[in-house]
Parts: sequence; C-alpha cells; structure tokens
Amino acid sequence: MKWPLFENNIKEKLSNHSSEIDIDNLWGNLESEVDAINNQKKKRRGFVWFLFGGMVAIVFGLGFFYWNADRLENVNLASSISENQEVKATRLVEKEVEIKPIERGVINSESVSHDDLNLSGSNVGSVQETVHSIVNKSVPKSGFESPRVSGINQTKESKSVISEAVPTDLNPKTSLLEESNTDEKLTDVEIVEPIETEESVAKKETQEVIKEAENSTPIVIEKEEIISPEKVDAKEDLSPPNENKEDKKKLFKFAFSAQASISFTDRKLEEKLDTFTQLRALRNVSERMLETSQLGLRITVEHTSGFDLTSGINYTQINERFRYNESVITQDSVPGIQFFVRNFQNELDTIFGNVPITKTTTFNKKYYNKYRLIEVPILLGWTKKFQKVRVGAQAGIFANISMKSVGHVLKSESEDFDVEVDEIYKTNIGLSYYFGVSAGYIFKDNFELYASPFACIFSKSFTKDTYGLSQKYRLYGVNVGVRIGF
Amino acid sequence: MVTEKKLIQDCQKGIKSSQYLLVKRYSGMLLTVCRRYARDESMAKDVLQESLIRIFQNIGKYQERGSFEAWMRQIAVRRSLQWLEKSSFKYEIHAEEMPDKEVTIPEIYTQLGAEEIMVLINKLPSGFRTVFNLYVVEGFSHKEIGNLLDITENTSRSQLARARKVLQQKLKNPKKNSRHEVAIIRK
Repeated sequence: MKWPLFENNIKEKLSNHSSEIDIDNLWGNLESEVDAINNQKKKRRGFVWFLFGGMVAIVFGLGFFYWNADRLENVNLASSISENQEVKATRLVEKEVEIKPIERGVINSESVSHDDLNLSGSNVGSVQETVHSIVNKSVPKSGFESPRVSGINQTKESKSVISEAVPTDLNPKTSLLEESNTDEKLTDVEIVEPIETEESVAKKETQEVIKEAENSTPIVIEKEEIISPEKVDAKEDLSPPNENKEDKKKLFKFAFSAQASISFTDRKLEEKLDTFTQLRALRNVSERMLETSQLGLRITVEHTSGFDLTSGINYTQINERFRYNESVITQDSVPGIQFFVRNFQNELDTIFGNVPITKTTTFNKKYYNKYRLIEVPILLGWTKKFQKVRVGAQAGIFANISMKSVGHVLKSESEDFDVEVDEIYKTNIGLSYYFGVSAGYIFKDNFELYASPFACIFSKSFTKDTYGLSQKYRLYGVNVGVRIGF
Repeated sequence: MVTEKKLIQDCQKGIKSSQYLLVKRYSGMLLTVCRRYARDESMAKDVLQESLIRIFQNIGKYQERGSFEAWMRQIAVRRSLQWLEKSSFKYEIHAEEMPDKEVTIPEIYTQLGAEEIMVLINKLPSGFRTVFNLYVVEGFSHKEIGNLLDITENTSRSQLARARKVLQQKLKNPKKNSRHEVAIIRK
C-alpha cells in the first residue's frame, strides 16, 4: 500500500471514530456550567424585554398621567362653577329675591325691595341644606335642561341666577332667602321658613309682587342662559379663560410612527498597530459597502411648545459584500521525463519517472456580510406645523441592545474566516448618535406621511479590542414613515 | 430518535434534556479529536469539557450552512490548540523540507483500528503530531495551519514531512518500538 493511501486510511478511520467516555461523569462536570450559560441567556433575553417593556410602560404611563390631568382639570372646573353658583345664591339673598311659579318663566326686572323679604334669623337652618342642593343641582356636568324655570330676581350687581329645581308648589314666601351673616364671606346662607303668624301678611305681599311683576316688562331668560356653566362663567368671569383650558388640554400629544429607511454606508477601517496595515488594505480591497436598511417603531410625546421626546425600537442591518479569489496550491506527481543522462557512447538517454508538479486551484468566494443591530432610540426633537405641513429636527442617541455579525472576512492574504466562529465582533456596541430633519404632510388631523433625512454615527468600533483593526460606520439615509397621533 | 435539526433548535432554546442528549451523542467523536492533539487523556477530557461549554455558548450562532459535526469539530480543534499554546508549546521548529518518497506500507497496516492508529500518532513529538493531524485528518492547507499555529507555511510543510518520516520509520521497524506499541500495532 502506497503512503498516500495509508494517510487516507488514517483519515477515514479517525474521522469516524468515537472514543468511549463516561457520559454521566462528564455531564456531572458540565451541568453547572450549562445551567450558568442557560441562565445568562435568559437574563440577557429578559433584560431586553424588560428594557422594551419599561420604555413602553413609561411612555404610556406619561400619557395616562396627562390624560387624567386634563380630566382632573375639568372636574376642578366643575367644582369652581359650583362654588360660583353658591356665591351667586348668597348674593341673591343679599338683594331681594322672589321666586315665582316655574310655569311663568318670567321674572320681574323691578324686583321686590329688601323690605318685601320676609327676614327672620330664627328659621334659617332647616332650609340651608335645600339651598345647597338647589345650587348643586343647577350645575350639572354638561348642560342642564330643566322642564321648569323659575323666576329670579335681577339686581344691579348680579344679572343672573335662578333656581330651577325649586318645586312648583313651593310657596313663594318659603323661598325667600336671607343672609344670616352680613359680612362679606357669604358663607351662611339661610332661608326663611314661612311664619305661621305672618302668613296672611306674606301672602298678601306676595300677591302684590306678582301683580306688579305681571304689569311690568318681563324679561324672558333662556333656560340655557341661566344655568349653563359656560354662560355663568362668561358673565361672572370667575373661572380661567377658555384659552387656558384649551392649552392645558393640549399640553402634550402622543404619536405612534412606523418607518423604514435605506441609507448609504460609510465604513472607516483603521489599524490599531502598524503591523495591521496590510490586513486593513486587504480587507478594504476584498470588502465592499452595500446599503444599510433600517426599520423602526417610535412613540413620540409632543409638547405644545414644539419640542418632543421620541423612543421606540429600531432594527438596523448593515450589508457588505466580501469577495476574493482563494488560491490553493497542491503538490502532485505525474509520469514523465525526469531527466536526461549522457551514456558512455555519448548518447542522450531519457529517464522516465514521476515528475512533481504544482497545481494551483483558484476559488472565487463571495459572501454577504451582515451586521444586525437592535437599538432603542432616545431622541429630542422640535417640530413646527404650517397648516398641512410639518417640519422638524431630531437629535439623540441610539442605545444598542444587541449586535449579531455573520459573514467572512480576510485573515491573511489568501485566507478568510467565519466571523461567527472567530468572534472578532462585539455583541453590543453601546451608544451611537443620530441627527435628522423631517418634513411631513398631514392628510388628516392624526395621520401624517413624512420623510426624514438623517445621519447616524457609530463612534465605537464594531470589532473587539483584541482584534487588530477598528471598524466604525456612518450612515446617511432617509427615513420614510407614517405617523398616527392619538 | 431526535433529529439533528431538532436537537440544535432545542439546545439553542436552552432545553437541558436536549443539551444532555447532545453531550451523549457527540462527546465520543469530540473526545477523539481532543485526544489526537492532547498530550494525555486527562488533558483531552479537560479540552473536551471546554469545547462542549464553548459549543453551548455559541450554538445560537450556528447556521445550517455547514455540517454541525464539522462545526463542533472545528471548535474542539481550536480549543485543543489553545490548550497546547497555553502549555508553552512552540511550533517554531524550523526544519528543512523533506520531499515525500515512494514509501510502501505493508498491507497489514490497513487492518489497524482507529485506537491503534491513535496510539501510533500519539507517539509522534507534539509539534509533528499537531501538524500531521491538522493536515491529514482535518484537511487544513499549510497556509491555514500556518495561521492557526502562528508559524510559516514552510515550517508547517517541514513538520509534516518529519512527521511522515517518523511514522514511516515506526511502521518499517516495529522492533524499534516499545513492546506495548508493537503488540498494539500487530494485534
């Protein structure tokens, strides 16, 4: 058997050979290490989800907070209106009030004089609660429509008020209000109960007042005008202006956007030591930059001032093409003329035998290298809206969560290696920087199509510290996406 | 019978039973690789353990473009070489290139089993053995060996030539070998 055959025999036998080993003993030694690896992977995966979940929770939490803040503002507004109504009620007492049967729906502009009121400090308390309930009922959250309208007294100081909820069968005398405390606090509102002993007198006076009212020019007050909180606010000017309320309601807006981009890739390969200059040159020759694609989901919190804060999740894939010709040189022998010898007769003899030859085989190798990154953007921006067009600018950081590299690069002049096996690339490259401007067209109030030219700078090397070259990128591209406001 | 694909997927997910199955299925083959490079059995088992840990750490990166066995074998070879490097093994032994000669090996040697061949190869000096294994068994080129071991191509060639020479001498003159070797070889 020839030697090469013997070597093939060795290769065949050793390649398929399996040594005996105590598996349980081996697994016993490995188990703790395997558990640690599994836990590490779970932690890494958990951290990514935690980061993403936390980010979403913060954004939605802020949204919920401001949403509720608006509602709280409305509730406070309603309370304010209620208090105003109470003040009005006491002011009425301060003047003269006459409540007519609701069906009449008119009031007397020349109201009853103070003397006409049946004032009494002794029978106040029992009716005080009724007054409050009337006032509260008169301030519904949204509008008010009472089937009945009662008359009110219109005075110089106060031109409104009312008390719709007063029962129709209420004796006018019993509705007379009295201010039990003369100071300016207007807190003790008292309503005088009818006094049995003066019943006939009061009745008479009331009839006179009604008569006068019927003869005088009536002022018809619209139900809404009387009881609508907005109207009351406008007249009394006791609540914040409407513009301010609107501002507070729209202090923050939220928008969700989805975008994609194709960008030009600028790679910067630098040697860390002079000895790697040749390797850099080799890699620059064998590798060519292709496009970089990005996909992103963003949530934006916009302030009325025009500034906004954006976060979300971003996927980036940097593509490169690696191509080189690999030459494999092999030694072989073929039968042929080994040499010539001159014999004793001075003739030339040909000696045949195996002649060594060198074979050179060239392989054209081509790989597409991919660097896949998952990032969380944190961007501060400013936008300005012009009718249907919105322009803006954004700047911030991209926090890298993970990076995966696949492909081949040259290790020496004629040898490449798999970057996954040799692990020359990092799995996390930290922070990168983003600058961009944007212009969008607003189709509807909450739907926008936009384009955003940007530059993204990866200031840290993709390669590990132990590798001889540093590899950095700059991306210049355009994001195109849709934004939905909510 | 769990398929290789399913086994890989489960190991990528970190399923322990599958990881055990992988160890059970492939550790014998990997131990053979490690034994060819290691100086002794103890070192071979240590290298095997490290290789398996490395495999579990990186199995997520494995893509079905090549043979899974070849991928694992490559990891085991690299770990073995790192161990040899750690133990101050130096490959830079320059030697003149010795061309192969037409050597005929007795047919009896084709009957040798894998274990016998391994005993034979393990008798080679460490540097020769490494280059011989890389070139003959793993199929690396001299350039690749040079890069792996941080030696020149010529050094790799001369190491291989010397390894062959030593092996040929051992096979030609089994009497010079120790009794134990002869017994194994002639078994």
